Amino acid sequence: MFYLAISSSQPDFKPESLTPRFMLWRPGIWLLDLGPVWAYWCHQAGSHDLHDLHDLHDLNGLHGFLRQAISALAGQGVVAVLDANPWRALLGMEVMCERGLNGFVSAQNALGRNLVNEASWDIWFRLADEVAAHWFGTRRERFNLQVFRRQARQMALGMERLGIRKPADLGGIPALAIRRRYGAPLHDLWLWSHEAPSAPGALGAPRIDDGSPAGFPWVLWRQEQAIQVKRHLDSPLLEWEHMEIVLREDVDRLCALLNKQGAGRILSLEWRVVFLDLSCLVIPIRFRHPHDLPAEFPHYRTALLQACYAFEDAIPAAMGAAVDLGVYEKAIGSWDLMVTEKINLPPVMRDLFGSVRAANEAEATDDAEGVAKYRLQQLENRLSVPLSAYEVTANWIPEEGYKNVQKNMQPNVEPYTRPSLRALGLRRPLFVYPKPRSSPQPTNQSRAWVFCERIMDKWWRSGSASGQESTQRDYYMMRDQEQRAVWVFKDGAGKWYVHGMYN
Amino acid sequence: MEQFKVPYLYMVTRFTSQIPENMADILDQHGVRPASSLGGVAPDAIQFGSGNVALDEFLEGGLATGAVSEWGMPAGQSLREIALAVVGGATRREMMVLWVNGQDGLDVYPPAWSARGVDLRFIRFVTANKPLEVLKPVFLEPVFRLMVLDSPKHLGSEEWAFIARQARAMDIHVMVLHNFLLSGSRGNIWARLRINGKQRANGWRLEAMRGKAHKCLELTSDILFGLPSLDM
Repeated sequence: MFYLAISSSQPDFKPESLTPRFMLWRPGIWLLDLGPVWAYWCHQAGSHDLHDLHDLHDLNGLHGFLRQAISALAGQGVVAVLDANPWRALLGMEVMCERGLNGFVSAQNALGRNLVNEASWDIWFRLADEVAAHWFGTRRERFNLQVFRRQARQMALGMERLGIRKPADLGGIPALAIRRRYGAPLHDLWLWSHEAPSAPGALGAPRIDDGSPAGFPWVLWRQEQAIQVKRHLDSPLLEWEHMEIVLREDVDRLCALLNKQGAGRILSLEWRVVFLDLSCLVIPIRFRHPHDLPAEFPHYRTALLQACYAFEDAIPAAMGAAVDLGVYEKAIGSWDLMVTEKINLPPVMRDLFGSVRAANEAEATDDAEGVAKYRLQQLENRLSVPLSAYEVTANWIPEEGYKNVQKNMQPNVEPYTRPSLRALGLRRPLFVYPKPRSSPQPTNQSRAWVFCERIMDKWWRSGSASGQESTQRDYYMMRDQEQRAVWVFKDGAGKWYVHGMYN
Repeated sequence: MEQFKVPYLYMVTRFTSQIPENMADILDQHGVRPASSLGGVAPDAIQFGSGNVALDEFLEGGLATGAVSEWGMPAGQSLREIALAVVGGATRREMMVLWVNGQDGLDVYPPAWSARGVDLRFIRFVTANKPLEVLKPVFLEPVFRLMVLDSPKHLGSEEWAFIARQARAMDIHVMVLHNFLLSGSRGNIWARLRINGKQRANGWRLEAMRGKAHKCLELTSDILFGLPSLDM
């Protein structure tokens, strides 16, 4: 659930308070990508949840938090819909506007899903025309606006003749049939309207290199002038130890510029270095959680650590290219350091939600949990590798039995399922292979076997029912040649796999 | 965070355990003691217990903060269940734990951890073969009170010294788990506890190579979590 469509009549509404990635869909309508700050807002909602919403599970806590934040920023008359897919978020928002509803709705709830499914053809084609205008503006390949409009008229006529009242009723038609009859752009829109949020290849899932959703006409809004400092080095530098001192001064200059704009959190910086041969290298410096850069005066340890990791990753490749070009000296002569992604925290949010604060503020209020969370976020920002936190889900398929809570905010497991899940978990090993490894059929069956469980795949999902995938697995504990206890299974086709190890 | 007030000095020698008694007394007058003599837990140290009386007694009340323990746990013998009992105890006390997984090709399977009493809200996982290279900031801040380095690749004496120093300075406990049995002929002065685990017919046998007193413990697999027997 990463995209938020907001309709606000408030002229001073600032989407950058919620995320650095947003676009103006049309005057008064904003589309926000909450992906880069999702974990941050989950953390904030979690600490808020501890104080006021402890009876509700995490997802409701986050939704409640977003509801209050959006109301505070965009006024009470705001219409906002959250969905994993920007197209469906826009559809839901249009339905709410048409019915005169306002407030915040998430498509993860039944109400939100029903709203999207209730979209009429009028809304669908109106939004399709707006998407087409954006595609035209962003120069989508092999896209002709006139052809698109003609095909859309044909499709509208076809739906009327077939008596299909709304787009949700068209779900059973194969995607290829739409593509063949009405062209690729309408096929894409049809697909986005009906895809499951978690489906492979869903609009909410894949992202191209610049972070925008694949295929969607995303035009990133750049409102402010870039906050940027430039450095011309007196003598060329190559070693990180030498550069660190100078870069620290530049981060300090950057903070002075940032402070003029009030409270903010940085998500990414761009370090554009220029070598003596005038070639450039752009080194992105990213933070896992929105980072309070000025708070680390004067050492700026977090930012410099991330810069060091990015530098060490990027420079060997650049050096390799330099050797290919025959350039032996590849020293850095100058650079630019600029803020590329940040969120602004207006005073109104800090007042409403005490959870948006630094550790020293939490310490002052004796909030040990708040301090621990803040320190953990700070630490994660300083590491070159991510730390993973998991949550168990009510699912018997081993690969789907857990989720990474940094990326997903799923409802907690219902209490009545816990005994079953515990019984399942006790028979399973602590360590598994990411993908089961094919194994020859065990020859020596005299080695003792312990039958663990038989599970069935979700045969009703596409593929399984048609026999393309095996639907049954029999799991055993057994000893391998080296006398190690391994977790193996035999699938419905009689093939053997090693899935885990009892270490 | 309170840190140790006592200025401990360690004998950096391979033969600390073989110091003659009279020599040890003289050195003790100058505040120089071998690491193995630091069995006493600082008054403000936290001890990570497993909840199992026999195991906790074997661990001298639990794994104390400010120290390092080294475990020999060959693969495929379910010996990490024992480490998990300690980790589960720490998470139930709402203390943050970091598990650094260095096992080749294997990922953790969280539902099995949760079933064994680990509160997943208080544990973080990271995959790293060389933890000191990629996780140095973790050792510089006391965010995680218990850290488990599972199957790290070749820890040299410098790395061991750094881990022991940071464990003491940050008041954390670091468990280092190896996929092989520890050797008695080659010691490790930086670890307060050195324990080998072996699988037995219906459970495990723990042998302390280093600790307050060398001793053994037999554990049955159903004692810890009510686990099914792996005896096949």
